[in-house]
Amino acid sequence: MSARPDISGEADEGQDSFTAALFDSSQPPPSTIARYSDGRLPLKRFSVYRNNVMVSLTEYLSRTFPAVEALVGEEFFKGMAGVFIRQSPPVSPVLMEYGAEFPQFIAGFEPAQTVPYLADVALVEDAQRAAYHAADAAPVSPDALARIADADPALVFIDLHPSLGVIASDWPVLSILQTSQGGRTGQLPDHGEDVLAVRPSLETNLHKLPAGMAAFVLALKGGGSLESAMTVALERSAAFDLAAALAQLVTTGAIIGIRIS
Amino acid sequence: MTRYPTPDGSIPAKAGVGFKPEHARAILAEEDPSAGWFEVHAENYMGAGGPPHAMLTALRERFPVSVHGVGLSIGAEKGLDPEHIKRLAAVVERYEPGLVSEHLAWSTHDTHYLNDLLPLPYTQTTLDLVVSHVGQVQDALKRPILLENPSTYIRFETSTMSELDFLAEIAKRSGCGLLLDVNNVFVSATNHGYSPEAYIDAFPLHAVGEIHLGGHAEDEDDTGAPLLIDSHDREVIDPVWTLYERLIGKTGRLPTLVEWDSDLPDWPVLAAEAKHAREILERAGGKAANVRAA
Repeated sequence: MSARPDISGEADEGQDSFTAALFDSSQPPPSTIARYSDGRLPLKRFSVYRNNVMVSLTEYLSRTFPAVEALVGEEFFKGMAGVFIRQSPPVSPVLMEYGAEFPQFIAGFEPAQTVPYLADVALVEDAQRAAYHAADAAPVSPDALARIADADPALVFIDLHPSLGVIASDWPVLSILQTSQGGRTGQLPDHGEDVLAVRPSLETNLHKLPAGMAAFVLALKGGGSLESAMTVALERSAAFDLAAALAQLVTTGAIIGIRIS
Repeated sequence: MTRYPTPDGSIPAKAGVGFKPEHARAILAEEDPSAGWFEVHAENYMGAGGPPHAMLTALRERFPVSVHGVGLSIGAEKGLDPEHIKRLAAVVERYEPGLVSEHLAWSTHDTHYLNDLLPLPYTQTTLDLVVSHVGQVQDALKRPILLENPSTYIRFETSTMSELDFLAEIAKRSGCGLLLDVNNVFVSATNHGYSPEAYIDAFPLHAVGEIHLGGHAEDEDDTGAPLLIDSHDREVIDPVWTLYERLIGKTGRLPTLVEWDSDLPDWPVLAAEAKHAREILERAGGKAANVRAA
């Protein structure tokens, strides 16, 4: 913050105590607020502001994390969101950035421990949130892979889409998410699922990744060469198939450039 | 940077509607548009890319657009965030809105964003603060903005001037225009027990460049007195339409926006609200106001 005008303590006292009382209903409204004619504090009037803040932010989280809400129910979600909002209120008026810390909060939120996969579902929904607003970029066409067929993988670098996110989970997180939203029925798999979120154009898509591929994509995303990413992936899974991995990345629109240095 | 040869970006003295992505398809499919222009909340278009920008780009190719900020926190005692002013300037540069507006309110404190429009006491100190902040924004955007009168639920013992005098002074000293929200007038007047008609009559109307209309919820305060809440989740009520007609009778036609921000209805409901505003504007006849701060 800059260009702070020199102002008296009068306004200062107002916004500090106003803000404190918004988030903590045990705090009285600021003493500068006009009382009723009988001298009482206008508590119900002040609570309109309290409600506006909590309700609007809770609604935002509910719109951003619909599967999390579906899994725990509206009442539980509201309570959990309320604790999160008081603990980590938004730090920017650009509200679309809010919620990135919600998955980590859920992972440590004691009452949610009975739903152990909840934080991972939140990670997938947060990746969708980020992908929705990420920069636009045009994916390369599948035949671009032909360029690297004979190249030394130590010299090949893959540029991934700005919207791309990867979630590695010990839970069948994608199947849980789809089931919670009515997009899937039947038994859940008994193994973990890794998920790729990407928005090649206007639609954000979620894809299940084979073993080793999450590590592969994260290594590429971190700027590693094709060879170093392949090494990491093979450490995770001996079954990792490089050609299949590149084919999946290119057909999902996750690659926006291929560089041979 | 995309340029928009048509339409001319200036906001006509017609009925407009607050744009919601849920209505994009219905709006763009209309052969005879129900709304003459649209308003967007600036903060929803501060992401890097994605569907929001795609939708607003398509909308802007068909209609004039105004940009309404909800996060500048003009009344923040700890100062404006220069990064946020830059983000607003980028939205304005990209979409070339006919009008840019903000609120007489604060919504940030220290590092917190509170996501509500919070009230200010009306004093010489806060007046100087707001005038300086409006000047800072106008300098950055290189254009005047409109500042909107608030809906308030409480008043301050420390206020030393009326809201009307406060707004008139801001306009006079900063050179900004005013956005007169008629629903906010009705809500605040009811909540604080004064006459909404008298408020409209005494408003510095020469500075008004845009009008807002919206719906509110009804409650009661601790004493059982009516407490109206600016909820933007339903139709404009008849007494607010009547106030609006009184206002237009004095000012002549002005750009008028219908706002609806939660519990969104299908597009035809909003189109009907816009039609209602259009009929009142047309009854004002050939009397078109000079739109200020455009």
